[in-house]
Amino acid sequence: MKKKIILYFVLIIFLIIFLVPVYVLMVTSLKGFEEVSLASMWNLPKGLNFQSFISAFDKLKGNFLNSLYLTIPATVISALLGSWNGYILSKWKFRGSDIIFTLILFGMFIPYQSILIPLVLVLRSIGLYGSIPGLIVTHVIYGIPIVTLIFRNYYAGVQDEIVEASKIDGSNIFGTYFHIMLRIAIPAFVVAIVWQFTSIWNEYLFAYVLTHNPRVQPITVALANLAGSEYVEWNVQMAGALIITIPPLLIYIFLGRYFIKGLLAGSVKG
Amino acid sequence: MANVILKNLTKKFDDVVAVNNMNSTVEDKAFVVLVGPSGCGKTTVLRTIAGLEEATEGDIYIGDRLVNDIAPKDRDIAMVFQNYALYPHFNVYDNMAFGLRLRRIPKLEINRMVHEAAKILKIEDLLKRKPKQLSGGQRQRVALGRAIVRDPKVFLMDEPLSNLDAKLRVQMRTEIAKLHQRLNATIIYVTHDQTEAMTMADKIIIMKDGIVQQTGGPQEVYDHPNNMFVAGFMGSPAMNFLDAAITDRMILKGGMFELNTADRIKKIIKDNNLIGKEIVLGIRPEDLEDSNFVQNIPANSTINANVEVTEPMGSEIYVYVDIEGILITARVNPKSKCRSGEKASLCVDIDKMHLFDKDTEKSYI
Repeated sequence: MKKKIILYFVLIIFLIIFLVPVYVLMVTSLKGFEEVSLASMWNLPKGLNFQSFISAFDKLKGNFLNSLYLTIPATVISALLGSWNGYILSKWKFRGSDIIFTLILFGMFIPYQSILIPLVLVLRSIGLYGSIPGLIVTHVIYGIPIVTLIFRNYYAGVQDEIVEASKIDGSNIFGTYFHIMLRIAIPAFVVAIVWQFTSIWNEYLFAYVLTHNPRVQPITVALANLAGSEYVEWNVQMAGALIITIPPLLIYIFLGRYFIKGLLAGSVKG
Repeated sequence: MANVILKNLTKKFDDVVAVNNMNSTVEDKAFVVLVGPSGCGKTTVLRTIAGLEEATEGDIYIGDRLVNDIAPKDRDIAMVFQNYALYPHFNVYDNMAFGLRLRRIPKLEINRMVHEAAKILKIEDLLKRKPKQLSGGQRQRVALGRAIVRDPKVFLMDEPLSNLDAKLRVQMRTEIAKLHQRLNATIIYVTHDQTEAMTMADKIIIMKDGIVQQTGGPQEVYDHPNNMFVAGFMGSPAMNFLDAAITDRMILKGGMFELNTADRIKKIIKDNNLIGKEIVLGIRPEDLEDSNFVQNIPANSTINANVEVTEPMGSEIYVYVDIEGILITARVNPKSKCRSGEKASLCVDIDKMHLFDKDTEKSYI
């Protein structure tokens, strides 16, 4: 009993530390511009003022859509690519496939910063620099290691006999993928989609480096640019930050159930 | 015609020889069981026939057609896997219909075929269920259904019953045997369970270390095993082996026993010139009986030894006795009074002894 009290005490302390920035974010976003000051930053707002949300949304809505145009295709493409890679690397092993898998995994350890210059040069030479398709390509490629890992591990848990049964039933390598493997991988798709959606949506560096025209910039870059050089409208800035969190939050809320389901179902033992 | 012929079949995985120069014929409509301990290559043979593995050397004919370079789907075979390998996202109907759809059979025809197969296997009320809603026995029926619905020439079954509990296994054993009669198809069945082999097969192929040890009917391999491996593998409890020397008067002499020989055995001894030689004597447990239950015990046909353990089975008692440090099993009358720790006298059926060469382990005939 005593142990439990101590445990909860410690947990609550950490929870408070964790929630402090969220608290500041929320109270500030509900204040008017004149109400915001360092002295009163911990105070609750005098009334509910949604003006800052309206103003933030107005400034960011184009970039919000840009982010959707970027994140949705990039997530879908990389999840599909990952499932195909994972399927081949786990169920159609060939000489050297394990080495290729290891090499693909190394891609996870390449820091974003180190490839910026070659990335810009490559995108420029294929005419995708400064555009959303360019960002999509970048994120799809950068996501290959993690999604391949997710799907390969998932498919490694699927009995090889299912693939063999399908071969005898008359499928080829593609048929088995489309009819069987693609459809039994919902738990892996949920994991890959949650992961990719969140990281692409929140990504800043590539977006900042690869897009300069405000009309194609994703929302993360636009949010940073909201802060002018002379003064910062903190209430609008905070409201913008809250708006940004909505899509990943929705993904968690809707896919989270399947996520848990997938984890509980565990193996796909026929 | 759907016989299966294996000619000089060899399969190597890197340096490991899984199947070594196998020559076998599976006759049309036969039920052939490949049996052996794990790692003996029996599953590899089956997978090579299915086309899931490529033969390193040798030829495979299915129905007089050389199939070495033919894809699994075009070999006109169906396979039943040990772990069922049902498609988890399809319901039972779709699991069975999948192969037919890929073969572009008309919808109505598929419907008729699936229902017919489901009727044979009594799974008609399960057609809408997903595999995970089925019990082990039901899943195995669906796996069988998926095989029979395509009406293939040859069924390949890879330990289909080993994931079932003991009672269900016995039940499905009979069902598969009935299915074989009903379908009139060729079945090649892999198992490590010699009981399954004995009860179901028309012909048994016994393998060890990638090499065929013996091929023959169940009773034939049981009564006349080629070597000590087959003798020990087929039959449960296993055959007992004792070292013995053959005296000038054709008596088998061990450290603790002297046994007379019947005329059949005397002929074997003469034919093979065994007088004065050391051999291995094989006696099946059922050929050893508590002497109290044998009338007219012939001279020199009993072994006296200490009883280590007794296992009453109801219909019989397994008595384990110690002979020269080797534990020997006897299946004796259930009324036997043998007790562990006491001496017992066991009578040997001297006509049913097996003699083996000590070095080659081959059977003398």
